[in-house]
Amino acid sequence: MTEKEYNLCVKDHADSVYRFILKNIRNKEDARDVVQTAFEKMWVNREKVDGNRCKSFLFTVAYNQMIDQLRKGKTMDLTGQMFDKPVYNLQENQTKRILDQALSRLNETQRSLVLLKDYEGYSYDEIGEITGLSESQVKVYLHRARLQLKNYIVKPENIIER
Amino acid sequence: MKIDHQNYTEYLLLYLDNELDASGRREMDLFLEQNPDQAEELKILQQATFVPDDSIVFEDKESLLRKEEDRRTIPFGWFKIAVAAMLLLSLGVTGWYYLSSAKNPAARSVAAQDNPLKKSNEPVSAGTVKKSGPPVLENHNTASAGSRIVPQVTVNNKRKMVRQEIITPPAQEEIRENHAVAAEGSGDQTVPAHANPDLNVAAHDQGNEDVKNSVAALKVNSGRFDSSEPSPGVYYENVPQVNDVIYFANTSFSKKTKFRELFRKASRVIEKVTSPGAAGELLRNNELEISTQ
Repeated sequence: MTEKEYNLCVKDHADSVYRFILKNIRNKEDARDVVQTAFEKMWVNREKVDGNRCKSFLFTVAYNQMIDQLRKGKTMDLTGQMFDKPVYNLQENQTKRILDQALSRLNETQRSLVLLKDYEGYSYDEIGEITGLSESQVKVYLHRARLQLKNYIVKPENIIER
Repeated sequence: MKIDHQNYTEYLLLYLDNELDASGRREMDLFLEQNPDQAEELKILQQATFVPDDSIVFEDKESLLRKEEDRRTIPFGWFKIAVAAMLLLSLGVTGWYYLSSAKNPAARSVAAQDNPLKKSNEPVSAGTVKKSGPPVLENHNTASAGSRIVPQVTVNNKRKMVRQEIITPPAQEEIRENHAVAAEGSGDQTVPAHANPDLNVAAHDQGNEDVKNSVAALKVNSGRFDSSEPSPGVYYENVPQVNDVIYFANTSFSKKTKFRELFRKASRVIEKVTSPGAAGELLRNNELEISTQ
């Protein structure tokens, strides 16, 4: 990867990886640290990185960095009680709020799988490369997460008004 | 693939995640058309998906940009190294050449006169250079009674070595040897008239082989070299006398010369130890001979 490719990767994917990390850990500063560390690692290892696959490398490094940070127990638990305040505006519609609540009830792996699929449109195989899981594991974990999200939003108290 | 009410959930999620191929999608579309309840379930699953919020951006993105360090590369680096190596090599060779020449400046002068000498090396006599065949050591000790001639020119089949013969004042031992030669060949025309016959006896008593060799060489060269001339000075083989240098072609200076010198020294020592009286008389005769010349 050349300097030009690296800087292009920054411009193209810094926002997306930041959204992915922020959606997972719900803390701007932590998300920012993770993204900076991921880009720093990519710069240091730029000679080993294929410029055409910089996004995959970036998400992989960021995901592992995020997992390390989450496992320190600093920012969240499964109930989301230790989350920082939501990054979205309180005026946002109810659907988005309920979805964020549903997402916060997923474990860190499921949450990452859902976001990688929905945000970035990665295939099961690509998600497996980023997270270190097999394709079949991705499929199983992701399907469980989908059903869990659906079950959450269909609860009577979470019925989304249209 | 057969989608039914038992396995539709899996295919519904694969359909949601866009993991079905074209035929699978068509089959799923057909199933959903035929099953509105499952179609409603798909809508709920679709509502539980997430769309990226483009309002969320990484601020101060410029801080992530990097620039390569300025790596200064010297063009033609190997070329410069090669030029430097060639210069050093040429300086070394030149220096070696001049140093080696400075050690033996006479060799250069002889080398400059090499061409006429080569022409004179034709086998015109027994004392000249033999261009073909094994090297032959020539004895020059009888060239002159007043000078000593060191063999200087060597011609080999493969390689030519040139040396200069330097005329040096004769040592006392050399004078004695010459007198011994004179005594040995008293009937020859090259023997000085004032030679002392006693020396002949002394030389034979010592068993000096070197003296015998000198006599033999003297006889060989006597036809074309007259040692009885008062001051022979310089002798060229085909060139008239020039300066005080004589050039000879010789083809061997190796072990034979060394052994000759060794035997000569040994004989001198023996001579001094065994007959000091004869040596003293020899010296007195030599002084007398020098004074008469």
